[in-house]
Amino acid sequence: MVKYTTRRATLQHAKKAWRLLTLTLITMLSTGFLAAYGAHTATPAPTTTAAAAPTVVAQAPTITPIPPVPQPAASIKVTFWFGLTGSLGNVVQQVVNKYNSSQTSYYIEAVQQPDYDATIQKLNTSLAGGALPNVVQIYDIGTQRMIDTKKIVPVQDLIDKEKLDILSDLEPAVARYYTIGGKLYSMPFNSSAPVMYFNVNAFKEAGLDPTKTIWTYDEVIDAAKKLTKKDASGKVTQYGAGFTLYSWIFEQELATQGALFASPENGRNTRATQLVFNNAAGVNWLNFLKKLQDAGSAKSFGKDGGANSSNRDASFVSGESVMTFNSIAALRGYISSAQQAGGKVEVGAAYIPRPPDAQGGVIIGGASLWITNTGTPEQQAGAWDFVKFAAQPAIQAFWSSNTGYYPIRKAAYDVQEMQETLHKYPQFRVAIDQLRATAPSPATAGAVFGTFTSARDAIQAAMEQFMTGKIASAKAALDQAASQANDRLDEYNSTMK
Amino acid sequence: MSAQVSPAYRELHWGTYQAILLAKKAGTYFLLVLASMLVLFPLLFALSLALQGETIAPTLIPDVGKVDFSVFGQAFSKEKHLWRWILNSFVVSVAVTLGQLLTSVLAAYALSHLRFPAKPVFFFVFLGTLMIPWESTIIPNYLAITSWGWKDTYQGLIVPFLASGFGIFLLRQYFLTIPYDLYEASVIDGCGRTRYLWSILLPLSRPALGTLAVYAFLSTWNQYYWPLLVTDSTEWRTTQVGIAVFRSSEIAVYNLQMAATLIVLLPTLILLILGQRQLVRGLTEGALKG
Repeated sequence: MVKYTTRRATLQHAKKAWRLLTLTLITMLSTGFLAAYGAHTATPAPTTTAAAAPTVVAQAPTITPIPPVPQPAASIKVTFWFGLTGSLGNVVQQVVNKYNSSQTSYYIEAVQQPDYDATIQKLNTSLAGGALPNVVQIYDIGTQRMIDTKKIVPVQDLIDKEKLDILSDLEPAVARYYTIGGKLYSMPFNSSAPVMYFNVNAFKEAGLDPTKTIWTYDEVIDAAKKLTKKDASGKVTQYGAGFTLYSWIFEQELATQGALFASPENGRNTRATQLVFNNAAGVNWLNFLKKLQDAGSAKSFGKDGGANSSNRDASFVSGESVMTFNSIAALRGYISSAQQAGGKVEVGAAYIPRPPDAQGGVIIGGASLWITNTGTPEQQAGAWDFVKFAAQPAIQAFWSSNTGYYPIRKAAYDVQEMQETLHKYPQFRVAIDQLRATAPSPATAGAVFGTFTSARDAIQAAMEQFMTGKIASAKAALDQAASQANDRLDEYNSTMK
Repeated sequence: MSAQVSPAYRELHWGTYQAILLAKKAGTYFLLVLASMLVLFPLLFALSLALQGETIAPTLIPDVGKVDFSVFGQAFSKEKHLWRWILNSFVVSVAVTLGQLLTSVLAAYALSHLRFPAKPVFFFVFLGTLMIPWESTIIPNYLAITSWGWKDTYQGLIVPFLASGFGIFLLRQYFLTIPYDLYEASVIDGCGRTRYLWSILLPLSRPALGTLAVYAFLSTWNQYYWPLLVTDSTEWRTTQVGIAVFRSSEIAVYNLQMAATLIVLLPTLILLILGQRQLVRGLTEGALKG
């Protein structure tokens, strides 16, 4: 009897503990589950946060569902993956619909992926044996990884075969980005470049010239001081500038100063073996940002991406900060949001700032269309036919007018639709001028290597450590980032031998 | 309220005693409200963002005059597959939950109650699967599924998850807390192994089964990368992959994204609320019978 009761007691004890554990588990699960939903959509695989494509912002969304057109009988189905969502995704579907209605031999089945990162991840896994799409839209920094898949057909080969005269009409800076070792690998589709945005009204109020396009670092610092306003209690009510710690802009500043990001020659002729972004040009940019911040005339929103980028955008369109650095593709979103936020801000654009002796220019960002070597010859022919269609001046004018990216064809500027767009958005002109003023060189063509996403993570982490004072010198912060990023690059390159 | 009056309170004036009780109660409720707000905050915040229209500068609490409920309708008109995605997620999650319960119960029963050669080896092999990172199994799984032509099918989404080392471990540990005497007594009374499992062991194990079911359901519902890989066409997507299209890859406008998130969240939330009662009952019943 005694034995029985002790046992029973132990048993009940165990039950109690078990019950507690179970309850805790359920609570943990359900709260974690809610949190996962509340924070964002489902978190994609790791390593993606800072890697968000540079050209993230375009026009304000319009919710017009774009259903695909039905497939005509006896047409050949060609699969196309793309990574743009929201209103940009709708415009992609419109381009596809235009193609599908323009002819009956091929039918493009467009499959929307959650984002650029998911697209290249899914593609990489599919390489192992699954069905690859015939055409896929891949972001700029995926270029080397795509070449390394050895499953793609360089569009140069297809152009040469048909003796087409597309190359001479491609926007030169855009063509240079996607040309590696003298060969155009993919057909550019959506391209953009960075600008310095500013609030025209605040510039006028402070006596600054809103038509001036070229600003040196010192001029920006002086202007920011003039633009900064404080209330009676000493709290800043208007910052001269607001920015995120954004690797894409960092890369642009290297190009502006004619400095290389990777060696040799940014990987343009042979595979890049070393990252050299810890150079004087990089140090200049970090010191410039730090000076702005330490003078109390700029606000840093932290590493680029997610909420930080949203906060920067909200700060700019509400007039809290006067200048910011972002892609020209953000222009329409900024203009419409500024109107919604009360219309105090008139959006202006200038070249990104530079040291007085800068000789370089800007690098394009965005994405391009890649043709894979999978599928039947008919499917491959259909893939190439669609890619040619998407690069037509009329389609590019349509694309540019509805999104905010550059047309990749010079002839697109002759199209009526594009001229109207330029008339409506004169700021866009500034971005085109800046792009065309860029001196061709490996530095301004942009770096090509296989581990761009991790290099960006390392750079943004280093920028944060420097800006928050955890690392005292910009050089030391960048050295640390370069050494980390080089480890990853060595690892990647060693698998490619 | 309570009839038990502790000795210290007997000395007090009746009114003071009531006041102390009231204060205690108020304190408890205050803490409870605080805790529930903390838990519900992500939901309420999502709702707040959803109702604020297309803006890149939302506020914590929406402007009452400008609240815009049409966004929920927009979510459905923008993506006609939304219902299908919810259905897909449901079918897959329910199937995986039932499958995991079945395999885990049988394996755990064998490991806890039966005697057979190399039992510890089997147990450690099952445990060992918990140590393998999912990243390393994804490619082999993917190759198998594609070679069977199971892309864009329910079986492709379900089959790789029908057994789980965690579930086996969880149930085995629970089955071991139920006295072996009970098993011996049943066998003496002429109860077979299968009957013992169904009539005695499982009813006693409702808390553990409930835990495993909730865990399996939620983790399947929240899967992202696997459904992304094995579904190519839009109608075969699950909610987690599907709702990503509501994210605008341009400027960060949250209303539509949050509305879609709330829509796909609702079915599971309802299930959780309904199921929780059942679960809690299961917990208490198990405790009394023990």
